Amino acid sequence: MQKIQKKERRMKEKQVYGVLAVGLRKLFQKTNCCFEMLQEIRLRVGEPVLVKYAGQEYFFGRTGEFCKELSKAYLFTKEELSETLNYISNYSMYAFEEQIKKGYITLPGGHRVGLAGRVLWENQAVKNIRHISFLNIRIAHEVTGCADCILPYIHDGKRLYHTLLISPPCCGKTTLLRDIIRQCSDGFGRTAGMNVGVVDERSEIGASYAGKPQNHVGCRTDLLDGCPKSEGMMMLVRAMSPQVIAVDEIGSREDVEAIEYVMNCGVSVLATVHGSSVEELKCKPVLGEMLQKRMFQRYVVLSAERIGQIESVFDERGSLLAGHKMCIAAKAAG
Amino acid sequence: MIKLIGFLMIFLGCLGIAFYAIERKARRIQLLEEWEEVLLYLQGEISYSGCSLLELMCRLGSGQRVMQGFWKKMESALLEKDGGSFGQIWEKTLREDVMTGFLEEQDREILYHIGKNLGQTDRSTQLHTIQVFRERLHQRLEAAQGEFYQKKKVCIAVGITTGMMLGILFL
Repeated sequence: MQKIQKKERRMKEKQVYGVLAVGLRKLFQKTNCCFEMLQEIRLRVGEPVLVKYAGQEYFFGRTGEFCKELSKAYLFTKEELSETLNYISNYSMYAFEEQIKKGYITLPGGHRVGLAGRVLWENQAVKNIRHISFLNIRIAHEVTGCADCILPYIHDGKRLYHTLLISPPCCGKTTLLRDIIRQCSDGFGRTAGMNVGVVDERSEIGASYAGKPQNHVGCRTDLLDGCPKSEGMMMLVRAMSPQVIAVDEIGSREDVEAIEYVMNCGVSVLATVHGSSVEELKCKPVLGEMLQKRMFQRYVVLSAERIGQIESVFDERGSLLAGHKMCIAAKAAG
Repeated sequence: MIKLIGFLMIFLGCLGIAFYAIERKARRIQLLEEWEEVLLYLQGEISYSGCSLLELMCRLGSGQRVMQGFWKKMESALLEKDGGSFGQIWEKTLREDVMTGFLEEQDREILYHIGKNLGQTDRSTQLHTIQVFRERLHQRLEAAQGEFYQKKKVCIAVGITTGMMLGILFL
């Protein structure tokens, strides 16, 4: 078991460090940091390399150590950026055109590189990003098992209730959604696995690379990557006969109409939305209507105070089913 | 008897050189045809599936092609991620490849330029660039095919005449 974990960690290291320019890569490989704690590597042309490690920000030193002194920091050059971009895109920027328009490139392993530079704007949309000068490599760490404590509330043993996960940004809703998808797909406890369809418009759930999800989304999961949610839901219902459809960050009228259609087809819907409470959602124009219709049977609200902490679970009438501060991210926090 | 054997050896040697020259020209045509086919394949794949160059090199290397060795070397060089742009890796690998020796200098120049222009631009520019180089290669191919049969006859004629002349001189 330990050997497998070690092998997986080495592979992850290779995936992340492998995209760095040769000089920087060698220094990172020399560093004896715990890779599991490494969260971000920020690269800006002419500026020091910054790393986010165990929730703290450090400069990356010229000798390969994490430090707090700017004078010891490694300065990132334009040539290194160009080399890094070559590796990130497999020497093929054209192949990532659509992702670049959205401001990121997904790496094998589900790691994500955020890009910034000069934006070319045409016909009310981003045409491309030229002169990319800023990169943010965000290292993916899955939290498997984080949905364990809420599954009894959103699953009756035979089918999944229509469930809406409500959370402020960066509070772990996609991680939670991914784990629910995985457990529903593989089966959990005595519950059999189900066919799950996922519409991953922004590649955040599966973090697909060349069409293959890099995160564990379960053995009975079909994933549409980069597809608009409303169209994707229709496509999945018509073509893949799923028992559950999962989507991230709903909000538009088209999304709500598609969800209604899916529900009428007898498919359970699992969705996430930005917000801090059910009351707040009721005030929003489109989502408010959806809540009034009582389309969803369960509302799971995540806390804004701590990443991955579930605040409460409500049923469709707004009755509290489970309360306060269920910690779902014990592993992550540990 | 020895003189006759000597004559035959000189004659056959000259004929051999003539056939080698024909073979080189035939190989050049074969290579240019294959390069044109490969560029068409690249255009199709980039346009339809938007595959990365690494993936394309891998696919080209697994097919039955005269230049298979080149594609395999390209794939492993790209996977090494050891510095250098795509154009530099392409040119270096192309220079080291034995098969490229059958091409003329101008053919090789076109191929080097293809490498310099691959992977750096957006999809439509990429496709347009490949199209431009495909047309250039096609012109070279047509010219090579046009003069092949003419040159083939000349080579055989020169080979036979030279062989005969040198043989007679040594007799």
